[in-house]
Amino acid sequence: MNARLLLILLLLPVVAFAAGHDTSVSDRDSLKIAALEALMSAPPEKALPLVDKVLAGNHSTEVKERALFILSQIDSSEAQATLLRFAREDSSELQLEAIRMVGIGGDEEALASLGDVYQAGNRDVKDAVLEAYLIADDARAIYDIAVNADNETDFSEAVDMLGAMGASSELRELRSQAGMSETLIDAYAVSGDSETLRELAMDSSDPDLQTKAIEALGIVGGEDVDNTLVEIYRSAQSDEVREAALTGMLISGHDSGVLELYRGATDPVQKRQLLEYLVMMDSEAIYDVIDQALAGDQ
Amino acid sequence: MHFAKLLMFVLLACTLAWSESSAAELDGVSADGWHSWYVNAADGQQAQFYVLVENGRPVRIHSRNWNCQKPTREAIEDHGRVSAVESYAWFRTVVEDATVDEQIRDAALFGLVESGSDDAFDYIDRILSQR
Repeated sequence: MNARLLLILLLLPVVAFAAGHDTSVSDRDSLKIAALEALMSAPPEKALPLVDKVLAGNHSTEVKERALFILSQIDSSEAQATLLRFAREDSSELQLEAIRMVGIGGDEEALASLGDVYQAGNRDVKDAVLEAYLIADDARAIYDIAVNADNETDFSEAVDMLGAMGASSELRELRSQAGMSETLIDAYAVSGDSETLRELAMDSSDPDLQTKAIEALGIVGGEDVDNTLVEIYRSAQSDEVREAALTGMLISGHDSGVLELYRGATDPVQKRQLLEYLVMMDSEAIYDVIDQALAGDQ
Repeated sequence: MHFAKLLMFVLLACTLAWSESSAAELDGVSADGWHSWYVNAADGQQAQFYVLVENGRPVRIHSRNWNCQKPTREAIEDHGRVSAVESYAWFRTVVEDATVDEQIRDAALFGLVESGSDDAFDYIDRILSQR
């Protein structure tokens, strides 16, 4: 028999064993994870030593990550201290997961300690801290990060998170603390704060921010916003503001407002622009306009 | 001397009788239908368990601690108060029975821990210490 073939035949059981061994490792991890989860129903003094042992031992990342989750669910200062230790260890592959688990656990003291972790951390760590505050619904902590930010990235990431959380009062407060910016306007739009955006849309002191706010109103949408956008268009003193109002209506899909403005317009340039927007909006109203034009009404 | 020997036999007989009775506490749980028992844990808490057996295998496991209400309106065979060790032993049998659905075996791990015996935590430790 060919020696090479013989070698392969001899090695087959070894390969099969290795493959089987891999599967059993995975099954073993599943059992470990189930055992860890079961510890959630145990008294903290019984569960904690076992969870600590897993975190200190030689286990897969998946098993250790689940151990961190169990820690977050154990109501004891020791459990929170261990979580924070992992959250602070920047060499640990478990650091980001530990930070998120502090958010899931929701312990106020541990959450407050994440402020220092944020300051000392890189971008990944900072994002994980923001995520932890998001999970814990701690808008105040994110506000503190935004108001103390010493660079645009930190500020905008925090403000974006506040927008996603719908934290309108914190975002309004930031306006007086940090001044107005496009990042804040985006966040007002995402958080649905049409009141602040309407105020900014009427403020012509900074034309760029004004047009940005008008367009952002379209993201919020709704009947009141649609009526505001039509009014802004009608009372606009510049082409930029007029176009921003149209863009807002395009975003909110307020084609009936654009049609109304088209019918009321007398300036041919404005009429043409309004028609272009109706086309861009793929509005059914365009057929009414065509019918009326063919009938010689307009 | 005879009295001491007699006393030893009596004690041994009592121990055997007690352990037999203890081991038999949950023997009936293999019968189809709903079963229930409770354990008084060392911390004064009470864990109440409900198990549905079909074709001789557990298919649902509930604890009064996890689910506040009785899981069924059907008749339940009540096994009353059971020792933590016996309850642990029953759940361990389920955990180690490869023919039982994996979700039920996971639920049995919760029951095992909630039974509250030191054996249960040693058992969890052994699982977690596997290499």
